[in-house]
Amino acid sequence: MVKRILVVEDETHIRKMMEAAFSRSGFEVHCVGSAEDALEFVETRRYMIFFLDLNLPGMNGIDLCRLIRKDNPFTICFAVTGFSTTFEVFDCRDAGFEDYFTKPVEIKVLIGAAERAFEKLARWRRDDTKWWLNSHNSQVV
Amino acid sequence: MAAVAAQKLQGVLEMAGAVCHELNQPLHVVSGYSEMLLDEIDAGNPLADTLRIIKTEIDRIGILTHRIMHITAYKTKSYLGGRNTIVDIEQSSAHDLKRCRNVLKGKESGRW
Repeated sequence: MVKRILVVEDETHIRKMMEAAFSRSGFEVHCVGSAEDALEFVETRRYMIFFLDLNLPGMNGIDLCRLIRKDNPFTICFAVTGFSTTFEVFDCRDAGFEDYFTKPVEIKVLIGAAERAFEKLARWRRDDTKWWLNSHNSQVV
Repeated sequence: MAAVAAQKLQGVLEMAGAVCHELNQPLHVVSGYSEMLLDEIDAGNPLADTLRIIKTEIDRIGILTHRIMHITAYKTKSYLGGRNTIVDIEQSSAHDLKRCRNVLKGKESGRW
């Protein structure tokens, strides 16, 4: 299975740093700067792991997570944010985020989270869920 | 008096939010790149020690912003022999040093 990750982050330097960090660890990573761009990306490519900034221009990361998971509940989304409030955390859990990281967060922590998420996906890929994973997004690569 | 204290706390919280949000973005970039450089640099390279110091100090700022993010009280301390009063981040924050370190290292969750 290709370990493909989509990072949604509006700050250019953070995008470049995250791209370098995930690439050197063997992941196929794509980065976009807005929720709207992310939604366009998922139309054409299948992503199962997402790292989403919450404070995005236009649609925020929480609403983006809801939309992604509504379409594919098997996806695993991580929130990576610069500042957090208790209410935001409740919203994140409600939206279906797997975990929540406050910047600055160590690269090895993010890589570890991605590795564990892919292991989880491999466990879920059983015979009784394979039909769903295979039929879903059958048009995308 | 209580109303004034509440107003001051509100002001501190708003400023803390703004500072953390703005500071944590560049901090994340510098922290990430220095971590990658440390992974790649040969241990015998004379620059390795310098790089380690840079990373340690970045982590220190990260701990500070995590503490500022969890300010729950308005407590001050005197600065420069009582000539000025500043917010006592350590006393005002609900997060202790150990917990902040664990959060940064991913050993403990930031909120849940």
